[in-house]
Amino acid sequence: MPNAAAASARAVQGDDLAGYGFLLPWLLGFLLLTLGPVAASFYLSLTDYSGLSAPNWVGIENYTRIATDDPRFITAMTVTFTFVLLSVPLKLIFALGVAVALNKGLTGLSFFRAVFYLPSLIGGSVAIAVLWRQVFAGDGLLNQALHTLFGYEGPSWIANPSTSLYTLVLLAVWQFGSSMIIFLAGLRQIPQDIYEAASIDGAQPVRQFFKITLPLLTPVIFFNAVIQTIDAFKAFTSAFVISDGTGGPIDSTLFYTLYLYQEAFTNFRFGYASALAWILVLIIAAFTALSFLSARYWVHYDD
Amino acid sequence: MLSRRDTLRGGLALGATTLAPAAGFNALAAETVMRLYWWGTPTRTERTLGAARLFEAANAGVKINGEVGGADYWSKLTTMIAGGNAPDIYQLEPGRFPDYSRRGATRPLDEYLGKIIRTDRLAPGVLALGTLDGKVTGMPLSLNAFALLYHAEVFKEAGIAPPTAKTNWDQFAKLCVDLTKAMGKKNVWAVGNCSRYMQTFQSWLLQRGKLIFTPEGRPGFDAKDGAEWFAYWDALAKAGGCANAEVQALDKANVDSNQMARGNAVMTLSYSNLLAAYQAVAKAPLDITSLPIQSESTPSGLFYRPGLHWSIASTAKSPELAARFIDFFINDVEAGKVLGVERGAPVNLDVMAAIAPTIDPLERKVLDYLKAIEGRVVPYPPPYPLGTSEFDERSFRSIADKVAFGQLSPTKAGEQLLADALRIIKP
Repeated sequence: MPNAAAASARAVQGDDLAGYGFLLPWLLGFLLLTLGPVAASFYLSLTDYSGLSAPNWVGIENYTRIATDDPRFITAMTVTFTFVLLSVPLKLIFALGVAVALNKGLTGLSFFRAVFYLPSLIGGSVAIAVLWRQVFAGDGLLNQALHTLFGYEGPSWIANPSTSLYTLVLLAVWQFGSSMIIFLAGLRQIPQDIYEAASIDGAQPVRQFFKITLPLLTPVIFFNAVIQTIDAFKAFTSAFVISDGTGGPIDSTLFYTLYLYQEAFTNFRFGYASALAWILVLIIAAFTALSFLSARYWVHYDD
Repeated sequence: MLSRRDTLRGGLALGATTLAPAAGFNALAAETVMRLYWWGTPTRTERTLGAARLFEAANAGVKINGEVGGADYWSKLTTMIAGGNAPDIYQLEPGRFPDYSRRGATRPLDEYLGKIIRTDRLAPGVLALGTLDGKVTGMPLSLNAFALLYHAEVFKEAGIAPPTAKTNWDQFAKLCVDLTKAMGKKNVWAVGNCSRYMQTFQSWLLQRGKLIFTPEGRPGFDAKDGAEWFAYWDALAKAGGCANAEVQALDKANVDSNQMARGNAVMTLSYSNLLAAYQAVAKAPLDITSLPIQSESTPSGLFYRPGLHWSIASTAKSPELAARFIDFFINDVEAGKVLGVERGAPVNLDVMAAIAPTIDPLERKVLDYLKAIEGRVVPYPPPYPLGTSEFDERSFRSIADKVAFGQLSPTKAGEQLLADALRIIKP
C-alpha cells in the first residue's frame, strides 16, 4: 500500500521536525552562547585585541610568546599542576574512604550522606572562599585553635607563599561530596555474594577491599578521576577570592584560569588570554586522552 | 480544536499586550538615563548620589544611575567597555588614567571646555592634571597629595614625638623601631611595610631629583635606586619597625586591606584625602603630616595630584549632557557642599571658599595640610606610560613580597624591578 508508506514517511518526517523543534532552545543556546564565543576566541587568539580598541591580526605571535617568553605562564602551569596532582588524588581517596564507611550500613545513612555532600553544594561559592580566608588568616580560627590547644603560633596560612596553595588544596578536598555520592552508588553495584564467598574463603576485610572492592570499582574511580581532573584544571573562584584576584602572595596561588583572567581583564590582553584559553583546552584534552589510553590497563569493565 | 482563526485572534491579543508596555517604554524614553560609575567608601557613594540628585532636580527629564564598584572595579570597567556598554561617565585615577585614555576609551573634553564645562574659576594648573598627549581626557575632581597618616594618641602614650615635616627617613626608621618597642603589642608595628607602594617609591625618587618614568615612557630610575628602596624597608622590617612579610602581603594598596586599617600598624603612607576613610575605620583620632624627607635642602617629593578624574566614555550617547554633569559636579557650589572634601580639596576656588566654613575638623586638617605643603611641592610628574598598572600590581608588589619573605635580596630586587619596567612598560 504505497499510500500508507508515504503517510508513515510523512509521520517520521514530522517526528523529526518535532524532535528538532524540541532541541531548538538548547541548539540555539549552543550555537550562540557556546560555539560562537568559542570560534570568536580562536580568532581573537590570533590578534592583539585589547578589549578597548579593535583587534589586529598577529598570527601565531601570542602562542610563540607563551611558549618562549612568559615566566608567569610557567608559574601558572606549576601552580595549576601542583594543585591538580595534589587535590584530585586526595579528594578521591577521601571520598572513597567516606563512601566505604557510609556503605557499612550505618544508621541514618541518608542524613550523613546529605551532611557530607553539603560542602560540595556550597564549596564552590564565594561565601565559602571568604570563610576560608577567615579560617586560615594569621589571626584566624585555625591559629586560634592551635594556640589554645597546643600553644602553637601558626603563620598566616593564606598570606604565606609556602602554605597558601595548600589551603586551596584543602578547600578542594573538602568538596569531596559529589565524588562520594558516585562512589556510594558504585559500591552498591558490587554483588554481595562475592564478599560472602571471599569471607568463606577466609579473606579479611582489608584484603577484600583491595581484591574485590577496588578492582570492581575501577570504572567509577576512572569516571571520578576524569571529571575531577577537568574541574581542578578549571579551578578559579577559590584562588580569586582568597587572593583578591592577585594570585598572590608571590603568585603562589596563580591558577592558570586566574592568570588568564588577569591577562584579559586587568592587563588588557584579550587576544593573549584567548591563546592561553586554547592552550588550556589542549592540556585538558591531552590529559583526558591520556586517561582513556591508560584506562585499558587498569579499569575493569564488567563485561 | 484550535482553528486558524483562533490562532490569529490569540496572536493579535498577544500582540496587543506586547504593544502596551512598548508604549510605556516610549514615555520613559523621554527621560535621558545616564550611567555613572565609581568606586569608594559608602560615604563617597552617599555624597556622589547626593550631587547626582541635585543635578536631576536642576535638569528635568534626566536620570542618573549610579553604579559603585569595589575591588573588581577595573576588571568590571574593562569588561563593560569591551562589551560595548561602558558607563557614560566613569571615575579614573592618575595611575590608571593613561591606560584607558590612550586606548581610546575616553572622549576628549576639549570641545566642551569653556563652553559647557566652565574653567574660569578652576585652581591654576588643574586642567594640566587631566591632560594626556595634548588633550584633556579626564576632569580632575579634586586635589590631594601624599601624606603620612598616624594615630595621634599612640605617640602620646608612648611619650614619643610624632613625625613632622622635618623628619628624615633615617629618623623615621629609628622612630618606628622605638615606637614598636614602646607599644609592645603582638602583630602591631609602628608602620606598615610600605615597600609595596609604587606611588611612595615615586615620591622617594622625586626626593632624589629622579622620575619613576620619563616623559618618553622609559624608567627614570636605575637598579641602584630600586635596591636602596627595598633595602630601606627590608632593614626596617628586620629591626622590627615595620610589619612582617605575611601582614604586608595582604595589603592591596586600598583602604580595606591597608596594614594600618587592619590594625597591624599605627602609621601609613597614603593620600591626604583618605584621612576621612581611614578615620572611619579607626578607633582613635588620626592626624596627618608629610612624608619623611631626604634632607631639608632636597626636594620634598610632594606634589598636588588629581584625586580622581571623571572621564566620558567614547561611546557615550549624550556626551554634552555628560559634560554638563561634570561641569555641575565641579563648579556648582551646592553640589560642592554635598561632596565636601571626600575626594580631596575641590578644584573650583569658589566652591573651596564656600565649603571652607562648613567642613568638619577632620576635613579641616586635610585642607590645612594641603596649604602647609604649598611652598614645598614639586611639579606634577609626567603621566604614567601604558602598562604602569600592570607593572605596579604584577611586578612592584610581587618583588616587595619576595624581599619581605627573604626570597630576593634588595640588590637583586632592584635589578629585577628595572628589568620588569623595561619589559612591561610600553613607551
